[in-house]
Amino acid sequence: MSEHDFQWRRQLRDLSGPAQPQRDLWLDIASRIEAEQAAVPVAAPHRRRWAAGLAVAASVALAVLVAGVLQRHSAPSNTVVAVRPSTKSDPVAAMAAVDEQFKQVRTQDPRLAAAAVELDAAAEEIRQMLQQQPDAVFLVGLLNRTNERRLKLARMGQASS
Amino acid sequence: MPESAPAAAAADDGALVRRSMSGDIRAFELLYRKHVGRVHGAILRIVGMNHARAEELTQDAFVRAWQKLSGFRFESAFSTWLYRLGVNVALMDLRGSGNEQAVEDEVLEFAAGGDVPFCAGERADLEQAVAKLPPRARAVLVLHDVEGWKHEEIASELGMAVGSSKAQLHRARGLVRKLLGAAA
Repeated sequence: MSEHDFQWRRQLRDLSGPAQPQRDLWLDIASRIEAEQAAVPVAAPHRRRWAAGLAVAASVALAVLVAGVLQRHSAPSNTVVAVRPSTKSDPVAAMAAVDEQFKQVRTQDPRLAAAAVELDAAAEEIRQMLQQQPDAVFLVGLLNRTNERRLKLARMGQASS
Repeated sequence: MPESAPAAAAADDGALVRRSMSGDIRAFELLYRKHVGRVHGAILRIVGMNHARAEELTQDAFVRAWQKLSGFRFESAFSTWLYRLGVNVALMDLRGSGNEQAVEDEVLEFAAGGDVPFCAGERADLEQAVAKLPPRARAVLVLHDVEGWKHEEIASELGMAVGSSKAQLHRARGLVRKLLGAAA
């Protein structure tokens, strides 16, 4: 390395080192971080709570209806039926409890059996999708409609027996 | 004990990083105050001493550091991680600055037309000469000759071949020497 090259390298290396901004950037950085934090958590959990609330409410309402069918369908000793969903904070667990109750009122009428199996499978599939997408409100609506059909089928089975 | 100060600083950083990871923005402010000079200095040189642009990019770098903090694995010093992130933000800005390659090549061809000897000058003259380089050539020269990066690292960050990085550096040095010679 020649003397010139050495001097060149040294002078360029001397340009390195810290340089403070001409103004304090922290306030702008903090505002951007806070704005971002405020924007992100609000939207998603709000929807999630809404969907969870809908799912639990739907499960409770459905449990009461299924209990009505069960009471008419069962012996007098079984008139007190646990209709509460297993937990208010877990809509999937609440709906699983309702699902168990549906199995108790499943019709034995062979003409309705195929439809009952199909509706059970559909409800199970929607419940699994809800586990993967707990904030998907449309799935709660879909599950409600499926369960209404299951309830109607249970009533039809009860009437035919 | 010369090693104790950096070790203590790194330990302090570790505690502040952990607090920041748990959402403590005050801890992150302390990290900002401690490291902003190094990050801003590198960005300022890469953008050719454009203070307004460098300040915007320094802000971007710290916001991005906050966002990516959960990805910091404590495998390197936090100061190094932050510095690399800052440089990367400046280089991304450079990559996104449009089609300047043709213009750069013309300027660099002019610079490559002769081996001009180095002319020692003032620091300010040298800074100005470097700042006048086309953006990519300036980035290569700053990263190699000022920041001490290797060609392999530069090529990787700028998405170019190692040979291109070497060629850009050679031409950029020639242009700076010409600019300094013209100023003398």
